[in-house]
Amino acid sequence: MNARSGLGESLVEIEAVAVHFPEQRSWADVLTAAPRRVVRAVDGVDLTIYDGETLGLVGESGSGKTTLARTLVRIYEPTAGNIRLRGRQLASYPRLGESGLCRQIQMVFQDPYSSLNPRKSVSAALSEVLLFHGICAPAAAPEEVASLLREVGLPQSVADRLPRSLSGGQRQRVGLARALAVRPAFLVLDEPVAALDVSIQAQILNLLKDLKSHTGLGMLLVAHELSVVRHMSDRVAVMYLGRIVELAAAPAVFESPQHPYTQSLLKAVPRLIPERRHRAAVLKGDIPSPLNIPPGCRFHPRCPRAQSICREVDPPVVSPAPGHIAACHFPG
Amino acid sequence: MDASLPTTSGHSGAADNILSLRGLTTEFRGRHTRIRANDDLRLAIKRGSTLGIVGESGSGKSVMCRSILRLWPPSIDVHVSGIVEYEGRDLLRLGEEDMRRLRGTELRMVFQNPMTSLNPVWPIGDQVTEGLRLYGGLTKAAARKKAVEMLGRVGIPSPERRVDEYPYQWSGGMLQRAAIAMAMTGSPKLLFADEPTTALDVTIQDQILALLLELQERTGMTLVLVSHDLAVVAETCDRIAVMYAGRIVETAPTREIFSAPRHPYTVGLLRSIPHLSAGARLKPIPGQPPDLAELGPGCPFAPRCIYASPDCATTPVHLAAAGPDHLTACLYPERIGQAAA
Repeated sequence: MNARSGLGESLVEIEAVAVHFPEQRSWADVLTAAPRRVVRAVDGVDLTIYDGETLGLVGESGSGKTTLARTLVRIYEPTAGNIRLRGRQLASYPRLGESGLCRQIQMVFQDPYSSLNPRKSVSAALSEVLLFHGICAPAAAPEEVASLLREVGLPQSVADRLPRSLSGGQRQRVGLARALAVRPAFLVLDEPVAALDVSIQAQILNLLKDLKSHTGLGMLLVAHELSVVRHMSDRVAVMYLGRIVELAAAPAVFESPQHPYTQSLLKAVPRLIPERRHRAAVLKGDIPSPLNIPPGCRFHPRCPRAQSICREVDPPVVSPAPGHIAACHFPG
Repeated sequence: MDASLPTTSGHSGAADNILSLRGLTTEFRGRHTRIRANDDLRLAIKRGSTLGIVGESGSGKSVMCRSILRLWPPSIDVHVSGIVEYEGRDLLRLGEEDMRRLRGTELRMVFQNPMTSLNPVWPIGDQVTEGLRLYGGLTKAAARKKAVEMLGRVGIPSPERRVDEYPYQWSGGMLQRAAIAMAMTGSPKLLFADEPTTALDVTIQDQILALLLELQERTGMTLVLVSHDLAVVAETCDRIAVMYAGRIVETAPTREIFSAPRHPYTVGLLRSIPHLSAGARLKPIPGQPPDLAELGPGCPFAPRCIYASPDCATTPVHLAAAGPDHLTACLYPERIGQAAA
């Protein structure tokens, strides 16, 4: 499912990746010999991320977007499929060292309050990364920390402070500085602004845009907020129940979505138009459990367009326009 | 501006207002600190209307709801003062038993997180009709029937089967429907919904907003919708009150808030929001919200305000008319002009 759009070299290639988790079994399950069930969090994803591009990954909770992001930094191992970084299997990289995975891929987490060590000052947190990975000599660390702080728009005065005395936006900048410290080739951002207020969110989004244009870093941006993804991304992938259902350049996804799920998602977003809505909800019901994925097209129970074929046959991936793909029997 | 409340509705008749706040102030007291989480709130809510309360975390939105409904646990050292006039009575001076009765019937609230606002060890149906059993004199069998009916009304599939289930068996969207069903059982006249969709996915948010508006249209109740999301209030509310640092800084009809905001904070918020349609650079508000324990005498937004003069930090500022139906707490609203988002 690789819709190229004249971008650079491929940076990360995700090929038929599945990440399954066995369900926790209780004693009762064992005694009654209940069948072993599996959470199919990511269930066959193909995706390529190119050098210098920001790929936005959207989906509701339970769509598998965070699992996919975490698999890219090997927090989880794929149950099936391949992930390659610059053509080389992710699993074959050493974790550490100059060509190690930690130097190549870094992640920024959603919650800036829990992703920093509360007992380490900002400079200690950043120099630890620098020294551990041998990015610079101990004597050069303070200068390197200072330049990282500048890069993420933090005043030098925060260097000696503990996370608890920083605001959410400042903490997220520290999280970003920590990820940038190793000069990675690829950055995974998991809901980087979801925990922040709008006025602060805008500051971080601008910072990310600047970093992108200065560093040419490839980024995977996972977010549930469509306007954030629209603002940041070159291409956008829409995930539903472990699969990518639509992928295209950002303007195409937002202006001419082809998959009925993408269309519903976009219609459900409240607009900044001061007029009382007079419409019914666009989608009925909840996203099904990944323990119990519907047969056929996994969106069919909620799809306004579903026919009998949708209930039985997994939809093919079609390409309604160059660089635009959707997994639907009746796209458009 | 003390005794005469600035009516925020076009009509001046006080009978049109179901709720009026006159100088509602909520202060938390610690050993060395005093935090004014609500400072002299003045607001009138028109009967049958939908009022949106917007602001960022810490702006005092939820505190306001809790102070109006007197939902503070005794363990918190909180001082609430001012007048909250509801149907001719001051809620702050009502006896505890009368207040409980009101909260169980006509003054209801829906909370942000349905996973934690319902009791995990009690069947959902029992929780939905608790108010009716206590204050409506319903028998257990009649209450169960009512619970099934209410759950059906808020769109729970096969409610007769699910009424006896527990919260852990339901999804977040379904639990929020149950919380709304619970609030609707007393035929409320005034419903506070505090960030009712913030914990939910966008398609579920869409369902919950549709449900709230439909219930409002059917019953004619007044709805106060608290949200950090300007887009949510834009498409649901008649009027908007913007809060910042514990104060109401602007209130106007929804259209005017968007077309001609008269407070610099509102302008800043509108410019900070990424839009679905474009990728233009955002213009964030510089700096961050102030520490409520360290507020000066002047405008709390002054340190972040691009229009501020030196006197903004020192001169107390109150809500004042900026148009026929528009109030702003800004010394120099004319500086904003027509510079909308």
